Amino acid sequence: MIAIQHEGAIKKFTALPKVWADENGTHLNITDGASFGFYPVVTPTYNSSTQSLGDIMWDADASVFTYPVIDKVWTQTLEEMKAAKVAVLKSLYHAEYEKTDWYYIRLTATGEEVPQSVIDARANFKADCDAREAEINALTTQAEVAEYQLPSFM
Amino acid sequence: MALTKITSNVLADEFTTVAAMSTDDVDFTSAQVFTKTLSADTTLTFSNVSTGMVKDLIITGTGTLTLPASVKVISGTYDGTVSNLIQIVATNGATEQWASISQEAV
Repeated sequence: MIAIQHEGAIKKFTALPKVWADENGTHLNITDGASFGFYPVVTPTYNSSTQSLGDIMWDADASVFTYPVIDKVWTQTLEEMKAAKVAVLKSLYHAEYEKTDWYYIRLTATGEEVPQSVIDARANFKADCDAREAEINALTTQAEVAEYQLPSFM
Repeated sequence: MALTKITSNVLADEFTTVAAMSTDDVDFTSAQVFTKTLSADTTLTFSNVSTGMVKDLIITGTGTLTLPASVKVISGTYDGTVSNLIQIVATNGATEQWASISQEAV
């Protein structure tokens, strides 16, 4: 990605344009982009959970176009964010838990025992969920809550 | 009265000749076709342009080719590895010309 400051705005291109018109003429087959004002666009590394990128800007020191990294401002309080995170956590575990519920329906209907492996797995599952909930509730900043990675059961 | 037919024999050089460009100026009254091989970045200028004139530039070679700011490219891109036909149509004298760029179909 490259960009150029032109007519008061920064225009981005995936590559040097084949045709470029400016006040000096209509240029074909541009090979040295910098001589026309084209410079690379550098996307800074940032944490998308806690930061976002601002509008593209010119960095004169580095001679590149880049984006300012802006810390996110949350509208929810820390406690509200924790509660929301825990709710998502529980919904994830609940969905997994339901996958073995049929063993207990069968037990009720037919009397066939639930395998011990299923009982143990559900117990571990519940313990894991409780541990993660405790971890979330122990977080002390909104950024930590935003960054907390929930499990994936895909 | 007998009908007089105009043939190419009576046309001036500006409509019938090919000129290898020794400078970077395209004199619209000097030839119909202009040829040039680029070896470096080149900026062409146009002179003696009148509305309605149509000129053909056959250009090849590497480097950035800059046409006057009055030129608007309609279509095509320049490929320095082959011959490019850049056809210029003057639609408003020296103020505005339109260009189309094409290469031989391979």
